[in-house]
Amino acid sequence: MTTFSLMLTTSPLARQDFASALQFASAAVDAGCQIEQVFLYQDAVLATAAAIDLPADEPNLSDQLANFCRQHHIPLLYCVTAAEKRGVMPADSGFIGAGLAEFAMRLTHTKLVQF
Amino acid sequence: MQPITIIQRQSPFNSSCGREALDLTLALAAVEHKISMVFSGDAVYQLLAMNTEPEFALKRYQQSFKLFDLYDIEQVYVCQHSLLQRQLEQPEFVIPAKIITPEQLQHLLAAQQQIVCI
Repeated sequence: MTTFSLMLTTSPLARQDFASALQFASAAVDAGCQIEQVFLYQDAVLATAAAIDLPADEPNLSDQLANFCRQHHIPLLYCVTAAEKRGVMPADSGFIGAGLAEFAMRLTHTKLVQF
Repeated sequence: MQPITIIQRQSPFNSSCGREALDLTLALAAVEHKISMVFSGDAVYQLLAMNTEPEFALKRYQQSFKLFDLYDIEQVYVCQHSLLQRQLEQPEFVIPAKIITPEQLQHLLAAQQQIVCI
């Protein structure tokens, strides 16, 4: 079965990419595929912010992604440098700080899907 | 390791995309992936000579393109169609880059294991 790496680069609030990635990841897991990593880069690191406070009628896609990855034991990595540049203080909820080098190494032998 | 193409599509200073795509490229090259870089759309402006005024307010990250040699990134391409659209007929690039036709680009992308588009 195929092993995927997923990369997100856009803000969870501003675009639909987190929702699309969740749908893709869910379908991939259901089909028996492996997901080696979900990597947050550029504005996608905003998802790790501890102080996210959304109105009750807006889905919290960051939480949903973290829960999904925890449930399926998928490493959910974010780029530490990108987060520091944006002043993001990551929440302690399943997001793992990593460097681009870790992403690059995990990418080997996987198929990359970018959102 | 794998052949990976990074496609740059954003102009140099309107967003952080160019800078962050460069960081990603160097990280991928550092773990021995075989990297090609394509400058397409407004990203062709990233390769043009930079403003050298000392007061220039943004980081001139393009100077780091010179690191490509050190990281064995030899395949740097510029989309011919994007240059023509922008009337850049005899451009001078800050690093050696090959101008590539849409057909050549198709062949290049077909030979890649991964494509990252930023």
